[in-house]
Amino acid sequence: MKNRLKVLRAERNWSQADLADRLDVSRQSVNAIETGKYDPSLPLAFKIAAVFGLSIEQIFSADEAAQAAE
Amino acid sequence: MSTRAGQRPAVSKQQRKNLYLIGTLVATVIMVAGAAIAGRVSVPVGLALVLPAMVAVFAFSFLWFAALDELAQRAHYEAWFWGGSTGLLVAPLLIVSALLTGGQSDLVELALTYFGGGDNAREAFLNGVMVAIVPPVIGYGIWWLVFWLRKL
Repeated sequence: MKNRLKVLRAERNWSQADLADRLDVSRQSVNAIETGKYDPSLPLAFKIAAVFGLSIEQIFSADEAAQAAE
Repeated sequence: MSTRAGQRPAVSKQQRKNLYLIGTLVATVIMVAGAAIAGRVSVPVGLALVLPAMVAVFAFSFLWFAALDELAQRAHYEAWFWGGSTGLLVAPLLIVSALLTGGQSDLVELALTYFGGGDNAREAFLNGVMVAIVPPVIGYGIWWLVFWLRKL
């Protein structure tokens, strides 16, 4: 799964620690999600969307390979 | 959810996590001290320390785990299942090895060397307990470490 977390965070001038604080998760978790090494659960995805004031679809999208397989 | 997303709670999950971890460690120290007292000084006094401390260790570690974020919990789930299960394979491997060789295999000798035992039934029992516990714990630790190295 791809995501725009890094861009959205940069637009708000937030560090990974700032975002982690807002999401009440560790900075390592934010880093793992941002780099695509971990896909968050649906509740956490909703929380991320709420923090940025966007919908989940505006932040997360399926990989090209996954989309091609559909 | 008790707070709206983006709103900082008074005490964060991370702070609670640290508090519960300290609680777990303190209760563990009391439990070990109680066991030492029970073995050397007084069984009733030792047990009076060990039993409540065991309950406290369980309670604090439960709260600590609940306060971890989902990725940290996932690391423990995977470490428990894959690492622990892989480590658990050592015991049946030793059993098969012992059955095939009449207890004379190198693997059995290795286990006896590291965990003691020999022909003494009491020590052999403790050896069996250690063989069942130590490899899964090592497997757990390795899997947990590899999980985080891959995620970071």
